[in-house]
Amino acid sequence: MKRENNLVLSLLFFVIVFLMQVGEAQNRITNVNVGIVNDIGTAYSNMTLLCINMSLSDFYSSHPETQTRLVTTVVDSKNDVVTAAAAGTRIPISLNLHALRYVCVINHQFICTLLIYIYAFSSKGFFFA
Amino acid sequence: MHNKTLLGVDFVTALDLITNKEVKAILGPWTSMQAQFMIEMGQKSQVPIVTYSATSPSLASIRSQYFFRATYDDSSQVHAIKEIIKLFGWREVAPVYVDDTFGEGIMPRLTDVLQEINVRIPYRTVISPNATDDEISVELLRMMTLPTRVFVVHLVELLASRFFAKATEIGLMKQGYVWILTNTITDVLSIMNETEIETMQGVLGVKTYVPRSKELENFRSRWTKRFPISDLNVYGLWAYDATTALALAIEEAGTSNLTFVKMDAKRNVSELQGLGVSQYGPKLLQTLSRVRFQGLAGDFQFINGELQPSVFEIVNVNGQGGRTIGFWMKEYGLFKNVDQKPASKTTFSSWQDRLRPIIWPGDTTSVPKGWEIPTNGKRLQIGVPVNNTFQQFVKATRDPITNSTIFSGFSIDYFEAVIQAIPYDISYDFIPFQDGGYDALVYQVYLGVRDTDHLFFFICSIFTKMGC
Repeated sequence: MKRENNLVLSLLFFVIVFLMQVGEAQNRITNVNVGIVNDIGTAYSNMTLLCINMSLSDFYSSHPETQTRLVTTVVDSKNDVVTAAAAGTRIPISLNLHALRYVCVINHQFICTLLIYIYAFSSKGFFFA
Repeated sequence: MHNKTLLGVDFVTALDLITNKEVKAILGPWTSMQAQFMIEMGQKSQVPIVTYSATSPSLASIRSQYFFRATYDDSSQVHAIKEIIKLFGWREVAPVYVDDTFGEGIMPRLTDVLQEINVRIPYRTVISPNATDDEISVELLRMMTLPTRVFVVHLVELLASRFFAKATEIGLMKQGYVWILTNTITDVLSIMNETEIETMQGVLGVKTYVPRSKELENFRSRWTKRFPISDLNVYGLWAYDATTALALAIEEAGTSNLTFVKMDAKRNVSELQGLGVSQYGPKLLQTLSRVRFQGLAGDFQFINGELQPSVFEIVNVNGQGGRTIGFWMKEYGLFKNVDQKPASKTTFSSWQDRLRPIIWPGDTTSVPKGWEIPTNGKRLQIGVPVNNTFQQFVKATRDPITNSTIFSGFSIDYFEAVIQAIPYDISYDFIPFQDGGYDALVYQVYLGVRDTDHLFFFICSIFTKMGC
């Protein structure tokens, strides 16, 4: 009984250690501020803003391994800050497994395998709860 | 010293972004005029400015290594324009452009390439960005009264549509006129409305060439699903590619040195006090210059801070929009198909070998000569003595159905052959002359019997003299 308890405790310990590591992986993503200067309101410039948005979401969903994220501030050339859209600061759940695998490569093999199992069995991306 | 109004809001905008938001790069600005202000600031604070729509060649002359152009310099198309003019053998061209940084930017290179083929620029039509319809009309009327009939138009879309509406109204979209548009207008033809397109029938245009690809097809279909009412054009594709390039470059540049150092206050002008210098700049500059990938709008690579086009599309506006009539390729010149490679340079004998059929202004398929005696719609009147006895030279017969006079004979044929050979257009009518000899004929002009505005010529004077 005591041994079982120990096993559960040590498992819990590993889980906590891993959560910290995942947290670190999250922190490794650095936001880089980028300004967008545009003539807000005209049909053409609105079209290009939509294209920039699509470009960012396409890029980061197809390159989940990237360590940087562009955070854009859209400014009207008439000097009004219109929106401050942050792209890529929230990573979709589907990308978490990628992040996890990345951590695994550089960390202890055993913990990783274990936690991939835990990840697989949990229906939600629990580390973002 | 400098004040805000003098420097413009774009300057203040950029200053705010750099000092308060500490941005490491700026995407934009939209126009060449705005870019002018921002480029210098980008250089000072080591923040790359990546524009996808400011196309004026003059921006490159600011020579900032922190300025990147994810679009084509307007000058890059002048060779395509030159080839079109050369192909049809026009001798004179009048440029029409807007009076600002964007408009005049194209002029130096255009003048150079036209000089290479000995094409004269007799005058320029410069239109103020805020021109009223009346001011546009005055310019158009002037163009009408001058003999050149080939115009290269480099205007922004809004001004262009007003310009062509007036040109149609005044009568400059008729047979004999040649209009060549720069890609500024041609690239947005797809989003112009029917009325605007209607006024531009028959014009030629140089258009940015976007190679077909699966990625582009895929993107287009996603676009139409997500934004069914918003039209996509090449500037959108460049915006997309420029963003990808920046994301790639920033990823490669890493995350060290993401700080700003305040500029030395002592050597600053008042306005630039507090402007930070991005320590990340030099690294980002390097990675951005090296970025290369297959973008939606084609191969994406900065050469001297700019994208370099190697192909342009040539279009002819008919019906609902622009119809592709050929391509200009950097190495080979004009061709009907983009994948057509020259077998040998001598195989081309006429323009039809180079371009597909063209419908010119006035719904005609005959190539305009590019030069006309500006009679303002009036035609030359050619006096023909009809009572001479040598019918081999001039013979006048009456058409019983239309009751008009039909002229034939050697002198008439000769006259028409000469008119054909003249490299510009002359519109004329034969006027039968019954009463008296040549002296009487000349005296009529002196008396002003004929409208003096009409140019009045006599035919046959030499040839019929032999027989008279």
